[in-house]
Amino acid sequence: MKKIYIGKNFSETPVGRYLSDGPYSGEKFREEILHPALKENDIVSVVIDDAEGYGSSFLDEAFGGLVRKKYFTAAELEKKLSIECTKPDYLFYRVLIWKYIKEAQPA
Amino acid sequence: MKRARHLRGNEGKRVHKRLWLLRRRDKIFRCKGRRPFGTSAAGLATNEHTAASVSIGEDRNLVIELPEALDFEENYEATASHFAVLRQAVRQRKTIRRLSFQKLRVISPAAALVLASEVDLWNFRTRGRLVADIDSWSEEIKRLLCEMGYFELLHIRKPDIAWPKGNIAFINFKRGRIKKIDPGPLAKELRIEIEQLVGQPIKKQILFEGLSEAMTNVVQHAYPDATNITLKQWWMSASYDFTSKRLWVTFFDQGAGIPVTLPKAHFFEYITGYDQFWSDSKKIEVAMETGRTSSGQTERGKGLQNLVEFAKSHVKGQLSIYSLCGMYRQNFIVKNNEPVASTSRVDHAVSIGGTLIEWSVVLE
Repeated sequence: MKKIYIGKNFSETPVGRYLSDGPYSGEKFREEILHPALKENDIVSVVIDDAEGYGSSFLDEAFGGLVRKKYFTAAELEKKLSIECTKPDYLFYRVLIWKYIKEAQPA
Repeated sequence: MKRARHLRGNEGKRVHKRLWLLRRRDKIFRCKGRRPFGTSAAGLATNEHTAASVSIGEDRNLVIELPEALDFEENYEATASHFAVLRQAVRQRKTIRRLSFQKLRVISPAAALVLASEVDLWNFRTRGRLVADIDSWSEEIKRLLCEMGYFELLHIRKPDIAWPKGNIAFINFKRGRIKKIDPGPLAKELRIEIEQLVGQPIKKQILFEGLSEAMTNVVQHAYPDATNITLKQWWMSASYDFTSKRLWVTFFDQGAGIPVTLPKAHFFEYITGYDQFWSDSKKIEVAMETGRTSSGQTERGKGLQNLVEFAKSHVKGQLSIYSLCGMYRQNFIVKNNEPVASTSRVDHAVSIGGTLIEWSVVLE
């Protein structure tokens, strides 16, 4: 199992959807950190409460993008991916992440 | 037009889109086919009901006189008309001799931000040669603009006066140029500055989310046809009333506007073109409710809905979006631990010249 701390391993201030939106976008996180980790490990745990906050475009591209890009299906991600969060203020991001994964349609 | 018709493929699409945007912008300036606009002696479009005070001096240069009150609530048309005349004069590179603050007695923080952005662009065009004739300004306007950071933004000499501390505190106007700044650290910096202003922690992740999404929206949608990086800018301000515990955060860009960047989303709209008859406020409402934006991609457009969260997460919150001639507002009041929302929208005759986002929340 691999644990990814978004704040520590990626950026404390992740913003934007695509690489063109900024240096710490959802696309960059998915392509450089999340997708390789999911490919190499059976289970990946992503800790979300060490960053400043998240815009929905970042979360949708990072997590929903896994389904849109046909890297994994939503069912596979339910088995492989866990979202960890201890701060109550960040719990709704976990709900959003799973919502985006389930709503995403393979392109 | 001839050239564009002969172009094929992506180049043709690009040229057609640019022509469409230019035509759309022109239509907005003429205010959707109504004829409230005449042409002033200075050759600038003015509204006959709310005509901006423009005159031509002996040296044939323009003198624009600001009205007594500048705000977007009670005096929208007069406020926006004056800003439109200033913007048009700057863009047409007319020589403005003076922007008179002599009559000005009241200015709201949102109007001050838009005024500062217009003067900022004028200052850029004149290569920073503007001088403030503050002796003619009222004491209240001097104090307000000093506290809002007007002089720091424009790099002009600030009056050397120590004002007594008032009930309302401000953070200095901020300007950002897209592509030059990483929005993340800047949004965090602004969030910290706002917390210092109010002197208590606020829902940090939600404010960060709102600010960063507002900046990302400017990058993604606001300036589809601008080529000059100095024109792709946004401005921000915040103020806090210690008596009512109300915080205002205001964000402005001079981009194409949400009504212009809103594409057709359904096949029916392509066939009938009925969305052409929607007012600007209706288009903002549609963009907010369906998450539809210029990208046309179904997964995008969530950013506008993100803006609501900061207003929604407080006991009393309000999000107002002014874009071109429209204004759309969502009010939230928490009743029985659930936010109850109400919406309103208004259309005006004069465009605000971009998009103004204003959050207003009462802190607990």
